[in-house]
Amino acid sequence: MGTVIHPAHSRVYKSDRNSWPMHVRYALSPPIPSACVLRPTYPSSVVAGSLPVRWCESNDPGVTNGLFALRLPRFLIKLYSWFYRYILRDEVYASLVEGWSLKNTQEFYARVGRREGYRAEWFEYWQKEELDLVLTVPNALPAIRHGDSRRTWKACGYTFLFNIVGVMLPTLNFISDFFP
Amino acid sequence: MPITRVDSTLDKLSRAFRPRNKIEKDAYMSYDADEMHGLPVGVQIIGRRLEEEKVLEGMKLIEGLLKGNGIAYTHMSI
Repeated sequence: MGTVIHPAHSRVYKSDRNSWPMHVRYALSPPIPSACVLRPTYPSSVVAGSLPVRWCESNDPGVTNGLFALRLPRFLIKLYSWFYRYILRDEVYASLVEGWSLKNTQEFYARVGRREGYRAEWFEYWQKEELDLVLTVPNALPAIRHGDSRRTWKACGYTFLFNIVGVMLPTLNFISDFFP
Repeated sequence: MPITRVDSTLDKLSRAFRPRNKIEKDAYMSYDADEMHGLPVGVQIIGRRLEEEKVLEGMKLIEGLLKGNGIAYTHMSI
């Protein structure tokens, strides 16, 4: 999910690298999130985006799509994900669709646990590489046409992804740095 | 921060491109270099929590480097 970069963005990366030789150290190879890490936040981002709508207003087409799917019975979602996994051989999308249902608290916290595990991985990585800043693109596409979000909402923005990573566990360092 | 613009000739999707999954396919269905010509393209800088000043310094650094190379981003004229 979210690994979509359009050509203009990749051009930025390629062409400008030579002009930043002093500062850009290398391309990163951070821990890759598996789909199961991202799943818990994926439906909740749609739910969060759907709240402030009055009866006379229409919702964002992407959110409408997502909510429609969330309200379907689970066996339909299961069938849909099997269709993508076993017939279209699209494992990435299938694994996202599979988790597309509202969670009870127990399921939810199991997933939150996995997400925290991933955060910890990122934290280790950041410490090990002694990174200052990471340069990345904010979103897969530039501004889109009205209504196109009914398709593009599936590709999560990189801002969203890095907010999940939440870079990371800072309070410990903060305290030891400032109050030795 | 904005850094350049979509260019209809440079940023055309190559014909050989095949999306790897449904998400990519849907995203690229909305991508059209001709229609999007001139739209701003940005980068973002990721820092850690409570290190906002560092991030701002990073943005200044990049802006300075772009200016130094004569490719600074100019805002749209309205």
